Amino acid sequence: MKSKFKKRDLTALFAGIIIIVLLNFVSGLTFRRLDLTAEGRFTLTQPTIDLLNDIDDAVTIKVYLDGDLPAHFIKLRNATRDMLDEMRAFNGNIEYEFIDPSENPIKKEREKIYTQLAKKGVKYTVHDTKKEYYIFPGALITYKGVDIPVELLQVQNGLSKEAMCYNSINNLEYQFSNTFRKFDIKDKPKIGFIKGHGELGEMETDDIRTSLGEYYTVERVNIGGKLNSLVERGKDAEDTNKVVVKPKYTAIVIAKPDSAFTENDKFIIDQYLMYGGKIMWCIDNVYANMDSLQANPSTIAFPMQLNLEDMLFRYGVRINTNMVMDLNAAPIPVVTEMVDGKPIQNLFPWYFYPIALPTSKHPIVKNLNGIRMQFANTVDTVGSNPQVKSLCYCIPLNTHAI
Amino acid sequence: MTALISKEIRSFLSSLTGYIVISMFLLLTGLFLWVFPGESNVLTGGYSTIEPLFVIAPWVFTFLIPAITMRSFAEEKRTGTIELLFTRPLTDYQIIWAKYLGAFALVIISLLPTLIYFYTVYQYGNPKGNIDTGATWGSFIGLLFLGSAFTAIGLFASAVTENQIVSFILAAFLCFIVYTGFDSLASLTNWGYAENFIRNLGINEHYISVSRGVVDSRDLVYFLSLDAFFFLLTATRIKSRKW
Repeated sequence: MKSKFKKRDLTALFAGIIIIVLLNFVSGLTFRRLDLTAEGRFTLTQPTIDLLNDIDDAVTIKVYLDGDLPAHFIKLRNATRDMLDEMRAFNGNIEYEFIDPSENPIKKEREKIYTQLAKKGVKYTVHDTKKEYYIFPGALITYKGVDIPVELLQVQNGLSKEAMCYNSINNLEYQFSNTFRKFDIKDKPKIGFIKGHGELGEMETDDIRTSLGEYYTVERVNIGGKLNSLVERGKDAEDTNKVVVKPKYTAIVIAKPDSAFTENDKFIIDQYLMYGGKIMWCIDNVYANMDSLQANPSTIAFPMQLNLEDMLFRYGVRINTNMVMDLNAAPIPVVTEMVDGKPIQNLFPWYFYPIALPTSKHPIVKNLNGIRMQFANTVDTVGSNPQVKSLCYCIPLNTHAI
Repeated sequence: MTALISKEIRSFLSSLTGYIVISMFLLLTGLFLWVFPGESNVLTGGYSTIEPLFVIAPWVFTFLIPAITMRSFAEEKRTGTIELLFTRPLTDYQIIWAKYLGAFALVIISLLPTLIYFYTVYQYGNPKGNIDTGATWGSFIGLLFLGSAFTAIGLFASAVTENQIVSFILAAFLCFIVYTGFDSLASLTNWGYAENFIRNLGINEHYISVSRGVVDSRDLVYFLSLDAFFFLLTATRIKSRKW
């Protein structure tokens, strides 16, 4: 009689355990997510979904991150698979496979595959230096006969591989949607960097021009009083007989000029704006430089005299000739002591490099962290133009304008 | 059954145990988060986050939850009151459920005041409200799951012995093993493909995953399975008196 209970209870126990194991196995095959973050960090954003819906042909994604990997790379691989699964849910044209490039035990064969991948632009990182294994944290996306490599691992200096993998997991959606976007671009819109008033040169703008170059054609323009420098005559889109004035560039950038704009140039810029152009003004209204502080304990800041005040005032903005000091500031290295004749540097907040926190939901600043500014000026909005919006601000309590 | 649950909660709150557990938990987390200087200090940390709470709390729970659950079966068995309980018109599962909910209620009660930490950092954020709300709620949910798993483990440890001390030590050990033991095991040698599987057996992996602010169905199933697994063990152990 007694053994009957025992048999029954033990059967129930083992049946229960088997059910639990099966349940976990099944749940591993598919997944649903409840995203708690305010900005929907783990949900595909609308622009990505739109991009996915635009895909009308088969997309093959070959992910080369597979095989015998360190744990953090396995996490990155799993996150990649989850991301691709989620994307597949929106568009069945997406097909993916995971390939282990180090599968072949023969070193020569392996190296052949490595070189092929490197040629196609998939970046690698060393896994095991002794056995000469490499990890390819990348993928190749093939769409309509074109291969484009995607980097899954974002390399950041000074970070461990673990931290890089974690950061990269949060960036996967951007990496993929960015690549899908590249397939979509037919005519790159043009962006003009204005020169001729002491604006930043080739060297200083190289980084941003390279980044923009993926989506835009970037040129440098000298206005020089020429009427056709920013606008051109072209045929109207609807009525081909009509000749209209169109902006040559989708946007122009005026980056840190240091000399005055002539009235002619101002007129041309204004006309460009009136015909539908967009301008990004990056203006320092006060001259102040760290270079002069390297040698001297003090420096003199003076107004730039750009002759733009009236123009910006009409647009609804006044850039004041002052400087912002803020307790919430970026640090700079300062030599504090000498040890064995070597200088020891420590970081101190430099109040003239305020860190402004974006408060607006505007696409320009949305989800950005604090923005470091160097010798920033305060900007007043003037008039009642409803289009004028401020994007960032410093906490008034800590801020001090001089 | 409700009577039994309320009896369990009352027995915690009418004795010193409940209050000591709650105040110990709040004292420890409070000191580490707001008073003691160091990495886990929120005020000097410079970031508007209460993440250190979710690092410390599992460790505190490793000892406090076994302290809550150690008497539930062990004490009743030692004093013989368990026989009274069994004569009641309750199934074994109902008794375990009641004990479980009673202990888990105490975990929830001790967690509730930490919402003040969240509110404080929310108010002090620059600008106000600048805290990763999603990750914080995710971490709270993760902590609740972790607490529920520890409670189930503690109940099992209490059911296998008549001695409270043995039950406490066994439960603390099991909690520790299930929480980080699998992680340590996974990094012991090169397991190859099995490494991730071993890691996924432990709580830590799933706890971190939920802490990011996303409740994944796989993590949910894992935590519920863990509870169910120790429930089954406890139930089998209780039923084995008839063997």
